[in-house]
Formats: sequence, structure tokens, C-alpha cells
Amino acid sequence: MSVRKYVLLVSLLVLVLAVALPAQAQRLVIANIGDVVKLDPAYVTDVQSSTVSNQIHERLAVYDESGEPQPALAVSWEASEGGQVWTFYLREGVTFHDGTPFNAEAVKYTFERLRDPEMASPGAGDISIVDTITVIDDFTVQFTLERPSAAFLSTSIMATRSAIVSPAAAEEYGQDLSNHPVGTGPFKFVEWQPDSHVLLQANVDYWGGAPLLSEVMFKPIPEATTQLVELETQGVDFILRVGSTDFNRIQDNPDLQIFSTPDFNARYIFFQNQKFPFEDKNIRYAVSHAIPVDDIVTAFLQNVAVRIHGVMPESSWAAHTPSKLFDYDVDKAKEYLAASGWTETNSQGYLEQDGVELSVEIYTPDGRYPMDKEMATVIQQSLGDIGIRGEIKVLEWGAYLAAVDDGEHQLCILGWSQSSGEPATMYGPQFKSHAIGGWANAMFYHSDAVDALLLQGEEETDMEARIAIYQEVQEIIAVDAPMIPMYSEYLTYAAQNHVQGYNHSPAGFDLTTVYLDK
Amino acid sequence: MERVSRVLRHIVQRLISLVPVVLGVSVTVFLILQLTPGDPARLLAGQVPDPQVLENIRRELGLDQPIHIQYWNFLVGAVQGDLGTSFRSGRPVIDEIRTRLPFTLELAVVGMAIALLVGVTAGVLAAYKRNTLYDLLTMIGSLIFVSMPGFWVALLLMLAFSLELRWLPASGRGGPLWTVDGWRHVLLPAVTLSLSSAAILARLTRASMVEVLNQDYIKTARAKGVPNVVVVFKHTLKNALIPVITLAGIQFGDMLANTAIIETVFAWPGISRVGVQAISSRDFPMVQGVVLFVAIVFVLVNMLVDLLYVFLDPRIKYD
Repeated sequence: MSVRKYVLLVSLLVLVLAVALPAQAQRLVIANIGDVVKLDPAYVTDVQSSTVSNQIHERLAVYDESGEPQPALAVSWEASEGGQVWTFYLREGVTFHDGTPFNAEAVKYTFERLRDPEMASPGAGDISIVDTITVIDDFTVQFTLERPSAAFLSTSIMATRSAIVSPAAAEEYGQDLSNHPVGTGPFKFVEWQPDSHVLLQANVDYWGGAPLLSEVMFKPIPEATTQLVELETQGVDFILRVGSTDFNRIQDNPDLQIFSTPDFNARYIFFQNQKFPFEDKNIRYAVSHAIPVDDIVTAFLQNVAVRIHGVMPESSWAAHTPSKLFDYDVDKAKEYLAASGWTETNSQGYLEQDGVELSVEIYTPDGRYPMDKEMATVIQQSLGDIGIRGEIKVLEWGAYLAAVDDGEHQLCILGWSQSSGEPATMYGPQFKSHAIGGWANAMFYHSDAVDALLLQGEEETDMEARIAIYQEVQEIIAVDAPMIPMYSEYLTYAAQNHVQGYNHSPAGFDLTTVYLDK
Repeated sequence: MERVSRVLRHIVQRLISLVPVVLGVSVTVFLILQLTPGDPARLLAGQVPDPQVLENIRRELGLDQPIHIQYWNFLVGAVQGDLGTSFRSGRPVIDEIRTRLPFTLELAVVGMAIALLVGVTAGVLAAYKRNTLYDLLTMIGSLIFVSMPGFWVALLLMLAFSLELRWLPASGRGGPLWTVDGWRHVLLPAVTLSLSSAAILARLTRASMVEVLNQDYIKTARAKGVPNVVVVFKHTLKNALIPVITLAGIQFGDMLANTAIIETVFAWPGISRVGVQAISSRDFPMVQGVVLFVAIVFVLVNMLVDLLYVFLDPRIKYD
């Protein structure tokens, strides 16, 4: 074959291939931190599932970047009777991915399904305050609550599990809806190969305008190092987790970009307030002064977290730095210990009183929070500095939850995560006395004043008044010192430089404006 | 003919012996799960566990039943081929296993093949060149490979071959083994999985070979002037392989256990990774299913090893 013929043949082949292959699809590949567990929003309890579910399904309202509620499937809403009756006016002309029209019946169906005991959905807990749901007309739906609630939007309507599902699909698939999710969101479900990938396709009829991407693929990659290598070798376009140790490596790579923003989570050290020795306020004060939280956060979580001084993260409108703060001061700590009579030390150098050694079990999970186990070691060391023997107990997460629910710990590391700065959902489950044992009050903290104020805060509709209430709550908690606030993790993602148009926000992972420039 | 029927009878006997093994495994796993602290319902209920929600979940999962009833229900289902529904994903356990077990077996078989190829070859050569520098280096090398933790080796290989050299993809399964992409993806996890087994097999092969080389019939062969290569590879190797094959069978079981780490690091969609997740989320039916299947595979592999003996050494008979 002559050279000319050869060149002609190759050119022809290239031409045929170019025509045969469609224009390069705008497919975004994202490394998810684990495989999706369930895609039926009613059962979503984990980050990796909600990240995907929120692309397929939508709620009546969503948060904007500043944490304010914005219209989504509802165009507007109003609360009457002091926040006991909530009326939502729905968006017209929206259809589910299966063609079912979106209307008030679909909303009622979704919420009734959520609270059906047969469903056993964790979402029933989110909307337990709802008494009746009434369809007023095709595009108006009304929720009557058991008692007034100013936080109804955040606690119930905007919860991930309150995303609206297609009634037709839910009826057809029943419990199997998780494998055939149908919503109104910007992306449609295509397939889910367990532990391999979830593939979504752009919903060109999306009411907010068709997304720029044609496909989104979520690949479960549990290991942080593997995720990073995949990003660096262009195996994936996006990773949804960046650890402190990887931050600089990504920042120094000219091919990658990093996205970081304050988030609505908080990590704490909890005392077991009903157990020796922490039923004694002086010991709580002493330990609060003895642990160098500033140094811990700087040393372990540089670039990926910020120190907090109260219950709420700084990004929340309800954040408040209390007037009572505990700086790192070993001498002060020892004074508080002495005030409770802990002055004598035993042969090993630990404080002892009437033959009882001052020792504390420090409970920590392993890797649930970044560097948690390592932080426990610093806490142990710090307790040793003031004469308290610390013993570290590392437990696997399931066993850990069971242990701290039962109050087996004396001191433990725990955190709280949510998608808004709403104080009712952050304080309520953690600080209300009825949440002791089995709920999230692992401090076993009981304060009638806080209980009363938290209830008031939930019902109060005036924003200024709410802020004042939660500030008061924070002041009481700071003085009681049932816990030590540590840090709030930033929401840190990284992507290839060719990923464009992405707005990073703690309110949600919005891919509608993203496109690939390659 | 008689020999074949004996082998068949042996296979049937071994298959029957699977029943008590599987039953024993299921009871043990069931009891261990019951004794492990941690409530499946609590882990499914999300961050705020509403008591009413917890109660609903427990009822739906059948956790409100007494333990012996729960086990009986499991057993009745299991004999009908129904291993229950995964607490976590809500899908039938048997489906979850069916989609993933082939991938784990694929990984383990490729890993075992690499281990046998590398391990036995290195061992034979070490025995052949006994007490030379090669022998010393092979044995030191195998000691190092045996001692290295799989997790660390995995990351090291990934950094070298994926990040620096860009030869192989860092994670996931590419496709079936008859595709190039399939091989590119399976290579790193399979090599990682094979390293410690290869090292152990190399050491055992060498030891076994050396032992056989000292036997009288080898000396006779040498005295008759049979070339060294023939002595080593024909007369010695076959007889030295019996302990090696036995160990390989056990190593296969080890590999199935080690795949949990490898599958997690390399994001391989196998059964071990889902087994680990199931343990963390107290997904009882899933853990039961995974352990049962791994136990069955282990028993079957060892049965295969027993059968191989007959072909390697005709003196071995099944009575």
C-alpha cells in the first residue's frame, strides 16, 4: 500500500469515527465517599446517599448560601396562628421524571408515606410535629401542627427525607423505590451498580432550566488516598472530601482546584454529667481549662476546620460566643480541682481522695471524625498534666453509639451535622433533658431552664426574639459547662480545573450550573 | 473405574459434610452478632433517633422477636434459598451476594494464580540454586513480603503504578477478564493480594523441595546420571508439591479474608467490602449471608485440594 493510500485510509477512518461518535458527552465523574445505601429519600440517613438523592429529588424549599430558606417546589409559603398552620403554594407546570404531574396531592402523598408506621422511615421523626395535611387546591397544601413551630421549615420541610417523590412510582415500586427513584430534580436516575457507580442523566425538562452537564456518575471510593490518586490521575473529576494532610498537596497542584466553605457541623468533647467525676461542676471547669483545644485544632486540622466557642458553628445565624470562656490554663484547672478537695496525689502522681483515684475513661470512635483517636491521646495527656488518670477506649462506631447512648463513658468525642444553621435542630436533640439515654443527649445534661427556653425558641416566630432566646441558652450552657466545644469542619471539595461553573455552598451540592471545559 | 467411583463417593461425602459446617457457622455468626454491642435500628434511624421510629424499624426488621424465633426464621428462609433482606439496603441478601461474589472470586483467583506462579517458581529456583546468593535473596525477599501489611503495600503500589508511572488505574473494576481494561484494573489489587501468599509459598516450596532432594530415590536418579534439571523439575517438583498445594488451599481462604482491605483500598465491588460495611451497620442478614458463602467457598476449595492429591500422588487413595 502506497503512503498516499495509507494516509487516505487513516483520514477516512478518523472521519468515520468522528461522525459515528457523538460530540463528547459532558459527563462529570464524582468520587463519592462510599456507595449509596438507599435512594428512596424516605430512608436516606447518610451523606453519600443524600448527595445523590438530592440531585434526583427536590424539597418544597431549600437553603441558599447564607442559610436562608428559598423557594424550590413551593414558590411561597406562609405561617398563621402563631406558626401552627403552614400553607405552601406550589410551583405549577412541574412534572416528575416519569411524567406524573407534580401537585398538592403528590406533596400530601409524600408526607403521609413518610409517617406511615408500616414504612418505618426515619423521616417520621422529622415530621412528628405534623398533625394534619390538607390539600386546599391543586397547588396549595396546608400543614397543621400539633403546636406552633418557628423551625418547621428547617426541621421538617427542608429535611433530606422530606423530598417529594412521584406517587405513581412509589405505588408501583413500593419498598423497591430505592432502586427506581423518581423525583423532579435536575438529574434523572439511570442505573445503580452496587459498589461500582450510580449514573444520572440530565433532566432536560427541568423547571429551573436544563443542566449543562449531560451525565453525572458517582463512583464509591471509600479510601481518601485512593480518591486523591484518582483525582490526580484524572480518573475522577471531583472529590467530596479533603483531609488536612492532603490540603496543601491539592493546593500546590496546578491542575486542581479546591473548594472550601464553613459548614453547619460542630464537634465537641462531652462530659457525662450524671457520673463521677463530672457531676461536679468544678471538675468540668478544671478539665475545660486543662485541654488545649486551640492547639489541638491547629495541629490536627489546619485548613480544614475552625475553632468554635459555643454549641452552634460560626456559620449559623444563632452562633454566639458566650461571656464565660475557658482558656487553656493549667493553674486555674488545678485551683478548681483543689476547690473540690482534690489535692493529694498517690504514688503514681494521680489525684486521690479517700482512697479513690481521679480517673476518667475517654471514649473515642476511630476515624468517624478526622483525627479523633489522636485527639483523645492529647486529651489523655492534658488530663495527666493536672493529675487525672485518663484511659482511652476506642470503639467501633456501632458499639460506640450504643455505649454513649447508655452513658457508659465519662468523657467522649461526639459531633453534630446538619444542612442549616437552625439552632432548634442542633440544641434540641443534644441538650433537652428528655433526649437523655437513647437520643442524642450523651452529656446526660439536665437543665429545666434550658428545656423551657428551647421549647420557647421553637415556638417563637419573631427572629430577633429567637436570637435572644438562643443566646440565653448558650450563656446558661457555658456556665454549666456540660461539654467543651471544639471545632467545625469546613466543607472541603476538590476538582479538576476543567470543572467550571460550580458554586460551593454548605446548602447543598448544586450541579445545575456545572460544565466541563475540556 | 473403581478409583473414579471412590473419588465420586469422596466428593459426595465432602458435600454432605458441608451441611454441619454451614449450620455451625450460621449459629456461631448469629450468636456473635447478637452479642456484639450496637443496635441495628439505632444505626438506621439517623442522627435523631425518635423512639417511635426505632420501634417501627425494629418491628419491620423482626428485631422485636425473641432470638430463637429470629434464628428459626432465618433458617427456614435459608433452606428455601432466601437469606432475608439486607437491613441496610433493603435488597435481598442473595441478590447482593450474587452481584458481588463473582468479583471477589475473580480477584482471589487471579491473586492465587500470581501467588502460585511467582511463589512456586521462586521456591523451586531457590532450591535448585540452594545456598547461593539467589537463594539468600529470595528467602530474605519473601520474609519482607510476608511481613508487610497489605494496606500499606496497596497504597505503595498505587502511588508507584497509578500516580507516578500512570500505568494502571487506581481503583474500581474495569470489566470482564477477557478485556484489556479488566486486566488493567485487576492487576494492582491482585498483585497486592498475592504478595504475602507468594512469599509463604516460596518458602514452603523451597523447604519441601530440599527435603525431597535429600531422598534416596533422587540420589539414585543422580547416580544413574539423570541431568540435574530433570531431577529437580521432574522427579522432585511433583513430589514436593503436596504440602504446597495444601498450603495454597489454606492461603486461598486467607485471601478471601484479606480481600476486605484490598477491596476497600482499591474500591473493588466485591463481597468482602460489603461484608465489612454490614458489620459496621449491624446488618445481620447480610453478615450471615457473606460469612456463609465465604465458608462454602472455603470448604469447596479445600475439597478441590484433596482431589488434586490423587493426581499428584497416585498412592493416595480415598477409602
